[in-house]
Amino acid sequence: MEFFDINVLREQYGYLAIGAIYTLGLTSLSMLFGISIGIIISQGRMTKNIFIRSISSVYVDVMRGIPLLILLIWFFYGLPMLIDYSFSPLFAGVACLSLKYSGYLAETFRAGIQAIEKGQSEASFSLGFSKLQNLRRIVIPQAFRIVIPPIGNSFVSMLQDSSMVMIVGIWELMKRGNSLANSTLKPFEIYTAVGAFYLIMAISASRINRYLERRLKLVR
Amino acid sequence: MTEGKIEVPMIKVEDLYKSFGDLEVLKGIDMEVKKGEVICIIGASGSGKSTFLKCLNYLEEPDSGNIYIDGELMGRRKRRDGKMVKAHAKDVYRMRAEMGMVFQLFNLWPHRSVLENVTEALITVRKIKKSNAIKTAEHFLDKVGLIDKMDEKPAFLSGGQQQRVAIARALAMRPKIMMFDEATSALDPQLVGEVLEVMEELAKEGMTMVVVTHEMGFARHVGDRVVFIDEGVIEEENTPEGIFTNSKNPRTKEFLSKVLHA
Repeated sequence: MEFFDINVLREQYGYLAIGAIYTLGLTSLSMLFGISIGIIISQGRMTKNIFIRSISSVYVDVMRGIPLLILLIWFFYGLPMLIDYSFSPLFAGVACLSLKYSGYLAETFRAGIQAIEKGQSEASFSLGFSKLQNLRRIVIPQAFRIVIPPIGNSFVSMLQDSSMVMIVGIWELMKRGNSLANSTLKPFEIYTAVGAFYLIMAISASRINRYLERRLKLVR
Repeated sequence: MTEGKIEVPMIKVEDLYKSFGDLEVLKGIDMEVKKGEVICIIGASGSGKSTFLKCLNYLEEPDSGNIYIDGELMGRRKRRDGKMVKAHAKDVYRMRAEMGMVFQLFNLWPHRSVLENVTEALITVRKIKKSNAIKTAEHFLDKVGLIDKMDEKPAFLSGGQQQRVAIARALAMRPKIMMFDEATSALDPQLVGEVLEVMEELAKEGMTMVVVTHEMGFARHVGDRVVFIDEGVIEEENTPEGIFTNSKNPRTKEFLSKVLHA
């Protein structure tokens, strides 16, 4: 018996590759939404209004604390029973990934913005800057540089978490891997290939992240 | 024709109160600063001096009291029905742009070069064309003696140099008033002189200045008036001679003895 049947991979790599593209697309889309929601929540965390601040804190705690699996089950199977409306698997998958990660990203943005010491903003205001001008010209350009590495890390993290969405029926990489492992009876080879795909995507993302980090440091 | 005309004071403060939670920091400050006057505010740490300065340009919002900058009420306005409400934000921004502030920790923007630190407000707030802003910035950087550092990032400058850039940044907006919040307290002793020199030059040119300082020598020789703030109130206010040499106030004398012997 062979140690490693490379032929089964030659036949099936295309099927898996499409799954990898699904995974990449899923992750990218969810990151986009996660970042957008995260920015809003981070503003809520920093506002003077106690009510909004509390709600934002609760949101962050819940999203960071709830397991993705539970969130998916509740969103896709539970919520439709409550509101009498069913979601597509893709919608549910992207929504849950976005919501969960928006919690982490909100904290990343808050920390990044607050890292820009108050004194710099005081200088801006003393010169007649509006709050918006200060944010645009002074705070965000610097905070941007700070948050790029954590965002890149979140992306890599989400790439792997994304396999969870197979429980709502999305045929991403892991689900396809499972299916093939069962049908070809060659789990070792199939899962090695699946692992290789994840690794390639993760390493590429990390490389891009590091490149962005370097470029942003040199430009200014 | 203008003889006998009552000149509006550049700064007028009426009964200023400010607390942070339970801590009452300013307990009824009254002050007037004439155009061209150099007021030096002295006092112990925590006496409210910095808070007072920050109330003038509304970086801190007072709890009560009135602040008039060149005759205009700061931070509040009278609504049509006569009620006093918060001023429009853009009025506060406009008034702030007429007042320059120099901070103890310089507060330069690290991601911008020295030149860009000085041009930034001109471009963003005054909407001046970049080329004109650069000309103005170069003029004031030259004035503080740092024109050759204009393309450097602040991190590569000494403390004294950074503070002089901060002064140029504030001056470039051509403010009516310059406020200094312990501008030399964070500097190594040998760097203090270069900053005080710039401040003295400014005073000679007739700038209205409110200077919170521990530099008693500066207060003595450059100040027109010295104000001693202790525990949130003005304990004594007089000419430098009146404070440093002839004070009869025990608290003033106690403070001075501590400070001048250090």
